[in-house]
Amino acid sequence: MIVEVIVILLWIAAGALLLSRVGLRSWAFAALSMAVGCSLYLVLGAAQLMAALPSSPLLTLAATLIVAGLVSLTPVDRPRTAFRPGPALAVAVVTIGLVGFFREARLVRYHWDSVQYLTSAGLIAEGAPDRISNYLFEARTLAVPLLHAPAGLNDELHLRSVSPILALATLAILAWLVREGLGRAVQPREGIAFAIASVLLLASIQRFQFNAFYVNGHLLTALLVMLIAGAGWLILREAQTPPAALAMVQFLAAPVLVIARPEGSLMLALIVLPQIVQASLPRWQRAGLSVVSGLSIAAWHGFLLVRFLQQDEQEAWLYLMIALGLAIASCAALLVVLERIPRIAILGSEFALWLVLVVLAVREPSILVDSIIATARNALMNEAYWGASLAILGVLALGVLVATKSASAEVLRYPLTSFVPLVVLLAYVRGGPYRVSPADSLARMLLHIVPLAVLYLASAAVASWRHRPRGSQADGQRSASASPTRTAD
Amino acid sequence: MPDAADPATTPPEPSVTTASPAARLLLLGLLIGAVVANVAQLPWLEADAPRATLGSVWYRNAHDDLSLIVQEDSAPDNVRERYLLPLFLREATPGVTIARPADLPANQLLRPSALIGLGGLTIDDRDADGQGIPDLDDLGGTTLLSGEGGSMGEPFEVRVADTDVTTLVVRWDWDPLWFVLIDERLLDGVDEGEPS
Repeated sequence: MIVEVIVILLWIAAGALLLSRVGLRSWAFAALSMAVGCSLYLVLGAAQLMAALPSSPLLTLAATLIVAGLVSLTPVDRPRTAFRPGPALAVAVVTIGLVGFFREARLVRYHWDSVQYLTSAGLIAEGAPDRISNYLFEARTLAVPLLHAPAGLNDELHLRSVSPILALATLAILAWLVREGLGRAVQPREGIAFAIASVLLLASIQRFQFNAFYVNGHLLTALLVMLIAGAGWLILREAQTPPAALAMVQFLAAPVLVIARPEGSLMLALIVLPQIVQASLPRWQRAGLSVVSGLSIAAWHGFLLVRFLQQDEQEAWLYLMIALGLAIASCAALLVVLERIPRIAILGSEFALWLVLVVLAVREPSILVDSIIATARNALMNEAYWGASLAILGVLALGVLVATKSASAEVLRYPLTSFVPLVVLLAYVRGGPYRVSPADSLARMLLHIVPLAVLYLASAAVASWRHRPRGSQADGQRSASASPTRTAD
Repeated sequence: MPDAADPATTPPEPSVTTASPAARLLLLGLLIGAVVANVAQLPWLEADAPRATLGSVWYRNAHDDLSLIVQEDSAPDNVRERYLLPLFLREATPGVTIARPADLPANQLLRPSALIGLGGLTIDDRDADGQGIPDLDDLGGTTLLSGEGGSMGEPFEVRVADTDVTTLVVRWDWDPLWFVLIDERLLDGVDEGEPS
């Protein structure tokens, strides 16, 4: 338990050092620190592996703390977040309690993929990442193995408390995003009510509960998707959190999303696009996001390509992914052009996804038909234990999409709606339809957008409604009960 | 957010738009309604979830580095969530092969009833590349003779043909989420008698 406590406290401490440097103040500071510190650890761990350095988790943990410490010492032009011993001690005590509780409770969910993730984790911990097969690198990537690799320091193969603690962090960060995003546009009590309702909605979904104890990368991916998109939304909403802090969160989360899941790069592209073209976002943030995201995608797939080539294996899709990464990175030089055509870029790219899907479906309709049938049974008929939760969420999200209009919420909406054609396209890429089973890839991947979907629903509280209920105020008018504020909507 | 954009390309100042109190109340009500609906269905979702896992045997990706993991577990009357994954994972130090199967006499029969009637097992023939497990001869073991499984609830038998077999990979075909197999206790004192 001591190793696990030290690892998680170290992640939180590293995240806290970084977030203090950029002046973030929030009641969710600890949860954000966990996400940021963990992301830094994963980025450094991936860099370590890709550079063929010794893969010991001890080195990665040490590097995480050193890098965070060095960054925190660099000069800043804004006030740092002051260190407060009381809350820090409370966070430490609560963390120790959570680690102890979850280790003892042994609430673990797993399946075949879990074992594969932990196979890689074990090899990383052993210092033998070169023995990880190309298949495991490609299919299971790096984030989850790196996440659990420190367990090897204690002769274990996974950190039992990591998934539940990440789930709690996800809930806390969702509440923070909602509260910050609604900001002063609503009464404080209303903001809190929306934050609580959002958290309850996510927590009440059976598959979220499952993933809170599941050894896999879905929960981490869902957290990262929500974090990158949500941070962009907060900048657009002119939230109280400094844009530098939000951008730091994005810049660390983006590379982790690339190595969290095989489709992580494509999901990142969908999240980044509506932000890159959004003229209301600062150019330095958009440039940074496109460069970090693009280079991460290119670097990871370049690493895979080298490994495959070393074994005389040709994988054409890796070249395409490298090209995609470089294209995204090069967008940093085209911001002036892109911000002139935001609607063309957003609608055009979404249309292109659907068009490619239609072309493929015409050529081979069985994959589409079988995938739709299987997914309908998985997602709507409880074959994958989603119950009615996805149907409810989908109907509400569709209602918000139709009934509201919000420029800032585009950065939340686009990754949600473009996810649909993307995942069906992935069925064609893999050459087979989805299947009826809780273990089906898409049945599990659906979680990736669930927290973001909940955030999107809550964002409607500050959107302009097209169809207002009887007796309500006209759209565009500030609520009588709300405090004055200016939003990007 | 102040932007360094060219004034010509900077969009007009955003207008103040928030939903009306009634719209927000409606939205909040819908969110809470969704929570209630989700909570209401949890009991039957839980009831439908797979119940038990007996254990798991798996192999490492490198052919020369097989590991057997034996999980204790969980009878159906146990709390479902208490899969003792860490217990067996602790045994799975990479490179270490637990010698249980090698200890088995040849042609040992694992009593199917000890699988607590879960059945529905099939041999997972995927190898590390996901392409179908190579002939077990190639893996340094000998042969897994047979795996017969019926539908859920029917007995299932695994025969180990040779003491050199180091790896069995088995999962339930009806729900690969919960893969399986040999409870350590099953390997103690098994004989070729009838299922108990």
